[in-house]
Amino acid sequence: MWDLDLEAGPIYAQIVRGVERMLASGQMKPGDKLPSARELAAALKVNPNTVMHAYSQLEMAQITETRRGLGTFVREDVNVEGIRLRILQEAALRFWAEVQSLGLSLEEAQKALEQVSLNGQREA
Amino acid sequence: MKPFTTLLWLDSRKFTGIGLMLLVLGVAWFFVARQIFVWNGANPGSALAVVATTLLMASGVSVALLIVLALDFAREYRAGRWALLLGSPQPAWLYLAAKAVFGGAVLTLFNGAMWFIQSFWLAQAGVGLPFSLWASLWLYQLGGLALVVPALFLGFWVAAYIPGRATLLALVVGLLGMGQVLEWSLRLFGDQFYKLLPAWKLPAPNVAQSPGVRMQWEAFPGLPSEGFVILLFLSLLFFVLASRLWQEVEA
Amino acid sequence: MLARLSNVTKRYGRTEGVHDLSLELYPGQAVGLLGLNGSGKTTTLKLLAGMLFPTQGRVEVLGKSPRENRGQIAYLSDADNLYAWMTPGDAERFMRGLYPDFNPRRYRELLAFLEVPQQSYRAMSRGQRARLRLAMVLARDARLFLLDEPLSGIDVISRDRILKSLVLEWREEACLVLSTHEVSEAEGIFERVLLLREGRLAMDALAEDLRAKGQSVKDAFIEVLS
Repeated sequence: MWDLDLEAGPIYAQIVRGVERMLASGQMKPGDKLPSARELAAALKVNPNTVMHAYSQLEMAQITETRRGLGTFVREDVNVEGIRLRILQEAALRFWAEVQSLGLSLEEAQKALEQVSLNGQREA
Repeated sequence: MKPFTTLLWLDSRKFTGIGLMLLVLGVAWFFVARQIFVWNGANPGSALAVVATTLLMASGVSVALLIVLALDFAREYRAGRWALLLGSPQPAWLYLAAKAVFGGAVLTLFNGAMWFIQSFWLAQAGVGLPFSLWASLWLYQLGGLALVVPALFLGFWVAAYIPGRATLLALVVGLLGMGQVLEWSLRLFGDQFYKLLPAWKLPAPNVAQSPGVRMQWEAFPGLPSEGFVILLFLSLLFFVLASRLWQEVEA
Repeated sequence: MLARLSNVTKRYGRTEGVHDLSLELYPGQAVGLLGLNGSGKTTTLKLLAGMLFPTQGRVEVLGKSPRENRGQIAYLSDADNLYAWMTPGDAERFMRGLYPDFNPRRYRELLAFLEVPQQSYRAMSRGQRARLRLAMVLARDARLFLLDEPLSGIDVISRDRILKSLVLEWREEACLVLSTHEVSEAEGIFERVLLLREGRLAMDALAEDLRAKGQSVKDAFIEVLS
């Protein structure tokens, strides 16, 4: 569920992205409790300070809140749709950059996407 | 008391095997000494043989034990175990005192047992060895034995500061240095204070059967108590010195 | 500030362990002391632990010399230095007797978590030995934890357990310094990395800063050393 890559930028940012991704995909829901900073740090084998930094970032982005003595929770009013759209947009940007670097057109990109989607349905 | 008993426990665990060996040796000698009387008859010749062998064995084993204690210092150092001891916030004298008390206790027990065996079988042959004679002699010797621990330590301290860690050489240097100090002080004290302190009286053995020998024992010699005072004084001095040096040891 | 080395040089005869080393350690930090074999990691840790005295310069832990403050310092030596006959129970007796800040309850928890078997040190595997010695050190309520190569030459499962227990025992008022020559495995737990090269400090950086620049600690390690 948490995927860390020590070569892919700051760890706190990866934890923030991880939470956002789990929210967007429905693995985590508004009102859910996050693991304590120490638990998560032990599970990921990272410094607890780093996890706390990530949690404070999540709080600043109004995704989570800290309930005194209870822990960190996903806010009830979190904008899941917005997060989902943002992640999609980021993925689209990466895809489009790849398409452009290959010198292909929008139609060809769309065709490729449809093809992938069809294959996925057939396998499922 | 807890740190001190812990250190004693540590030493007793380390030397359990050697302790068992000494026990077996004592028990074996008890029965062998009996056999000497059985084969040879209860005469002065047998008694002399038992006394001579006991003395030889007691001194031999005591020296061997001291060497083992010394080698243990070195082995612990090489195994990096001093880090375990130096890391704890206990004072330096505690380690040295624990070593001295442990070594002293083992030697006392062994030599006490040896004396017991000898006096037990000599009593069968009519020679009474008072326990206080042994206690007296042993206490006198302990004054000197206490010196051994700081002496060993001194050697290793020197070793730690010689590049390449010439351990054996340093040990010899430490012991020689200690010997020199001992000699100087014996001379000084002997010349100056010899007549001041009363002699350390020794109780004579009781040789009931031969009056001739008894006459000689009547004038049984004592020991100069100056020597004992000097040894105690030097032991104290070296303990203070060694405790100070412990603070400088690297591990 | 918890500990400080100021212009410390340590010479052994003619060879130099560390040269003109200055650094400060703060509470709450997990510091990775990195470098190749022979780069001065062990010397640095021993100087901080008060096991060695500097030839030049000063070492301070909580304002005093480390030897004076050794009750506050928990040092794990890289030597395989426990008595062969000791079981975890004997080790507890030893630590309780000599170290006033030893916490037996935490020690037993650590033994369970690190899965240390109840047998003599002699009969243990390398990983089990390392785990036992680590439990003895981590069960102390010290302020400065100095661990010399706790992960080297140990199986993967042991490493995983050791890293997890380090995180779980992490305390805000204490500072942890861990030396290693194999970076990647442990790098997540470091907040700060110090890189030694031939007895000198070649780099002192925050791990997340390095990653923000697109480098892992391992990348930086390779870059500085090559």
